[in-house]
Amino acid sequence: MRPAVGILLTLALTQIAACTYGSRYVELSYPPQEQVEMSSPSTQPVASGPRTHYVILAVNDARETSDRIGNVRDGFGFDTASILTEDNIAVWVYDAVSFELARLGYQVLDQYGASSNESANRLTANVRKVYCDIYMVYDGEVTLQATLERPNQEPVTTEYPAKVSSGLSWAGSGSATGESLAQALQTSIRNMLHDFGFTD
Amino acid sequence: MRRTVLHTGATILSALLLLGLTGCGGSKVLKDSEPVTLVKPLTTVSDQRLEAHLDWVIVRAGPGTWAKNADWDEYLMRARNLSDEPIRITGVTVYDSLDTRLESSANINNLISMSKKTTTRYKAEGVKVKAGVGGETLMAAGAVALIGSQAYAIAVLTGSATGSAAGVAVGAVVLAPVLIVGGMVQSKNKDWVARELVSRHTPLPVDLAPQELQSLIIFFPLAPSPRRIELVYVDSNDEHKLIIDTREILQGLHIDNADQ
Repeated sequence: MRPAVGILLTLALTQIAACTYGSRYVELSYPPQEQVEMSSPSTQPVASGPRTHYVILAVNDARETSDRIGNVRDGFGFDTASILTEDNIAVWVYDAVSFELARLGYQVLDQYGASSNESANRLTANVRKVYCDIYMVYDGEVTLQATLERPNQEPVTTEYPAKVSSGLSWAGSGSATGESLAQALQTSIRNMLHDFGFTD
Repeated sequence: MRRTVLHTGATILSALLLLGLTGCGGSKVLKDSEPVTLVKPLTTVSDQRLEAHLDWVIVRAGPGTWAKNADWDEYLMRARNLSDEPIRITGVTVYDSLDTRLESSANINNLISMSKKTTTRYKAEGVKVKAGVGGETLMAAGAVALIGSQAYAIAVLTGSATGSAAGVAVGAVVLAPVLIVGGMVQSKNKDWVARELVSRHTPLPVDLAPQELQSLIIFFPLAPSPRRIELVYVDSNDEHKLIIDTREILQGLHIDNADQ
């Protein structure tokens, strides 16, 4: 009987070691299921003026590391697995900013629409960070560095870091990771749009 | 009786040892991967709006390989927008010799799983698929110049199977940490390969500005003797397809004719 118990125990431990810590793949989506409630933003709008209905938007993936968007840590705090995505980060952020601008009543044009819309604001976002650290909870972080160019005004560049801690991490699931990152992205975008006067 | 128990115990221990060492798969990033220099594309096609080059296909143990035991193919391509308006490439697919459509992926689990399905599908047709074999036409194309040799050190797994009936249980428990470490090392290796796959691949969609040329690195599960690659793209008017015929240049790829 004892050998069987020992073997079963070993098999169970081996399975945990070999497979439970495998890489997770996240499908990035937007908007988050749980909408971010904005309290008073930390900064006042830096740009104001009559609302322009068109915004020319460009998004660049400017992350330093592009191989993973997060990590899972075990009970001892050791990094044991990577969070990965096959999705195009720049497209994910572009669609998210477009969604938020459309919600505010703006029409988004890609950069090729610039010549025919000289009165439009030009918003460029460089994605600096997209990362989720999974330990006890999901700590999603997104940092956008945004530049707003208004007609006849100096360009304004500001960085918008956002961190959202959500949910208890029982299994380090991909969907919960995606939700955490979407919430962080929403926070970053909404701070940015408020700062730039799009919500006035 | 005692001898039988001993033998069974030893066999189980050996199996456990191998389980721990092989973990979830046998792939890992090679330390001594060889860089490739692309001299000319294997083939180039174009329509009025888009030009596409297939530069090379990295296969298991072939020129440019960076992972041991890769169960996937890495297509190195370039695309140029010939038009005066932006183009978005939304999909790249490959069709194998049975005309089965294979989707691209950078997910190591998907690639391995889909490659296994392909192997099973071909087996049902009486064709043996083996990663990296065949493709003489590809190799003869001479599109790459290699630096150094292509010799890789492959670890040989060995293990002894001895012990007594009591020793099996004790040994198994004592071995558990070894197995766990082995499993974790294996898991970490696979994690590095998974990260490298994601890092190398070109995420879709890809936007091409007017006249812009971009490199595309697309991973597919094993596609034996592929017939064609399809690039799907959209412009302001419609969706279009550009087809790269690969029947000649990739003929016989992954088809094992050794037993035939």
